[in-house]
Order: sequence, then C-alpha cells, then structure tokens
Amino acid sequence: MKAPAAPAPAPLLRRLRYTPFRDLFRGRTTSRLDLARRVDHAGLPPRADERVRQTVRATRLWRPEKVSVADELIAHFRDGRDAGHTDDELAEAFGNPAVAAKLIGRAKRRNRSWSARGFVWSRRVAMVLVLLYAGLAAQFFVGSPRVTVDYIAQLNAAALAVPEDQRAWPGLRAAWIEAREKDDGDYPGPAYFDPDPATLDVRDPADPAWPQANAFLERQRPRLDAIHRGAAMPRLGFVAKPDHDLSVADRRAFGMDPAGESALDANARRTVERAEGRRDGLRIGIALQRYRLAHGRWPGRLAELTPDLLPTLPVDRVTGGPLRYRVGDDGPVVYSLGGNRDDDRGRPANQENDEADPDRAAYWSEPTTGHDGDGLIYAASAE
Amino acid sequence: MKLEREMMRGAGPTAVLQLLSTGEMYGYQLVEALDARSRGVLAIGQSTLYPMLYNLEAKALVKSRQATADNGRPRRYYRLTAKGKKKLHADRAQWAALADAMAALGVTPSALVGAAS
Repeated sequence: MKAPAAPAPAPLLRRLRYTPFRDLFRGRTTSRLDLARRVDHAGLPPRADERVRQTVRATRLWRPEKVSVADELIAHFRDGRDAGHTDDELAEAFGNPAVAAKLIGRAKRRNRSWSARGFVWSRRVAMVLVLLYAGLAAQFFVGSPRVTVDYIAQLNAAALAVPEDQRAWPGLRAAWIEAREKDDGDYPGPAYFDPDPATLDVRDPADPAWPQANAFLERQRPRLDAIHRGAAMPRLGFVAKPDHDLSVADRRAFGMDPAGESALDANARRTVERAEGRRDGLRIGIALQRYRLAHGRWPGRLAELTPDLLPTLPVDRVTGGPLRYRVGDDGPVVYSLGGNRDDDRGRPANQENDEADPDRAAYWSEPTTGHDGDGLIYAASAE
Repeated sequence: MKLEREMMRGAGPTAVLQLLSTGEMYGYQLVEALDARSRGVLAIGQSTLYPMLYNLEAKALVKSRQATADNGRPRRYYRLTAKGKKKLHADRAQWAALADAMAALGVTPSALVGAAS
C-alpha cells in the first residue's frame, strides 16, 4: 500500500488544542492527540476507516487512550492491506465495532494507573457531592418547611382535655384584657401591675392615695371577681397559639407589640438594621482613611468625601438628616444624634447599666428618647 | 471449524501467550499466526484480539512497546513477561490434564492426547 502524502500542518489553534501539556512545556505543538486528523491521514479504505472511527469514538476512553487504540487499529488494517486482503474482507474480519468498542474500553480502563483511577473516582465523588449540594440547595430555596411534629398540639393536648366549663383561662384572659383596657391611669402607681412595692403597698387608710386606690379597685371589681372565679376553677386550660395568631387585644394586654411583630421578626429586623448601620460606618471610615492617605489630613467636612471617595454620604438613619462629624484629638468621629436628637458631640449613648452602647444608633426604627448621648457610626479611635 | 464463544474465551488467552512465548509480535501477526497455526479453529478478529491483549497487559502477563517497523510504520509489539511465562506454564499443565480427561471420557481420540503431550 502506498504511503499517504505528508499531511499539511493544521492551524495553530488546532495544534495547540490537541497537543499534550508535556509537549507544550517543551515548546512543541505536536497535535499528537488530534484523533480525527490522524485517521484522516492514515489513508485507510472507506470501510476500514469507518470501523476505526466508530470503534474509537464508542470506547469513551480518554483522548490519549483513544489515540493509542486508533494507531493500533490503523496499523492492523494497513498490515491487512499489505497482505493482500480487500477492504471488505478486512471489515468483515474486524467484527462488530460496538462490541469491540465496549471490550476495548473496558480492557483499556483496567490498564489505567492507580493515580488515574483515583482521579476518576474523586471526580465521580465530587460530581455526586455537587449534585447532592444542588439538590439540597434547590430543596432549601424552593421547598417550604414541613412540620413533622406539632409541639403546640402536644402542649395543648392536656389543656384541651379539660372540659370548657372547667377552664380558668378564658375568664382570666377576658378579665385581664378588660382590666388593661379600662385602666385609665388614675391609680396612684404608674401601672396597675407595677411590681414596685412602693406603689402597691397602699394598706394604710391614712395614706393619701387610699381613696384613689379604693376607687380604682371598685371600678375593677367585675374584673377582680372574674379573676377570683377563674382561680376557683380546677384547671387552667390554657390553649397556646403561635405568636402570629394572637389578637391585637391579647398583644396589648400581655405587653406584646400590637402591630404584630413577633420576637423573631424584631430580632431579624434589629440584625438587619445593625448590619446596615455598621456598613454605613465602614464605608465612611474607609473613605476617611483614604482621604487622609491622599491629603495627609482629615477632611474638614464629610461632604469633601463625595463624589471621589463616596458616591453619596449615608444619612443619620434616626433623624433622617446628615450625620454629624467632628475631628478630636483621637481622630474623627461620625455619629447619629440618637433618640434624644441632641448633639452630645459624639459621646456614645449608654445602656441602662451605663455601659457604652455603640450599636444604639443602628436601631433607628426604635430610637429610645430617654437615652442620653449619641450613636457612634464611626470612630477612628475605636480601630 | 470455529470454536464457540465460551470455549474461545478459555483457549484464546493461552493460545496468545503460547505464540508470544516464541518472541514479541504485533497484533496483525498474532491474528495471522492464530489463524494459520490452528488451521482456522482459533481465528479471531480485531474486536476480540485487542481487548484480549489489553486485558493480558492489565494482568501484567504481557508487556507492550511502541516501535517503528522496517516499513517505517509505528507498531505496538507485545511480549511475554515473567508472570506471563508462569501463567503459560500453568495453563499448559491444565490443558494437558483437560485433554487427558476428555480422552479418557472418549470425547477426544486418545491419539490426539498423545500428539498434544
């Protein structure tokens, strides 16, 4: 069989694509892995050419392995042609390409090194983990929580077992709500149920508050009677409900936010507000430091930071006005006026235990008017 | 006559190992030699031969090397390893015992047994 003419070189990109890294590192573009081109230039008769392509493609081996198999099959067909066999004879003698591909693929994979097998298995494991993660993520983002154990029902089972006419709770609840709603505040204490003994201890008829206390108790007599009746019931019979199912009257009577915000909602809101407040402080702090690096001094006004270092200045989220800025001995301080809306020159507001409460300014949706001091957004001395 | 697939599965590898015991050979050479020396009984195509060679290589019974033939073409040559020689030795003993047993049962004529041994 006549040797085929030397093939024209492939385009550079194709050569790069099919050159092993090892050859590339040596500065050669051998395109040794260009399977199609190798078979094209083998000069095989049509049926043999088809057998080689079909078989090699169906092995699903790695490209270097496919090239090795293709080379061997090409050499075999060429030897057959040299021995005088026709294309049809060689194709018939080859056998079934699908079966050949399956057997060759399996046998070649057995020849892989342990490191190659480890790579295959780690890739499979990684794929399984990715799929598992994707499945769990999809379930997390698309699915909704499914209640498998109704703990509230379990808690309520004992209360619901009590006959309705023997439950103390409905009467106590009604009396409590009514007492809270009708408490007009003329009792000498700050509130009817104030735990401060000084305001509850009106026992002496000589006490100036005695008539007021008696008048208050007289007005509350129906509710007090109802509470006495409830206390005489054999069982409390309290049926619990989730926070969101409570009525406005219940919320008001039992010291909850009547707007319906649960403790969980409030915590989430506070977390978001705190994060946004800290982000404001961080943005201003970075802009101040960059300004100082560029100019060797702190800016005279926050407005000097815009627009080069900050597109817009964050505002005082409590007052809605501009944040206050002052440069002291310890560096600049940026602060909110806080709940009392007084400028305390950046002195941080304190908590009830007199400890500094730097996050106070961040809870802008619930400013406490009683707290003196400002809400620090950024203080260079705190770094 | 051609052997059934199951018979070929048992005899083929031993036949290939036996051929390689005489020296290294390439794929087409093996196909031709099997066909000619077994008078067509052990004739196999590429679809059987190459998987068999790759399996023998995976078991370290044969080893291959890529080389350029006299006509300038690249070829892969196979040769027996030390492990392959041991395996062939064991296979020969088993085939001899099998032939004896078959002859004793009257499945094969005893003359063949004598020839085989």
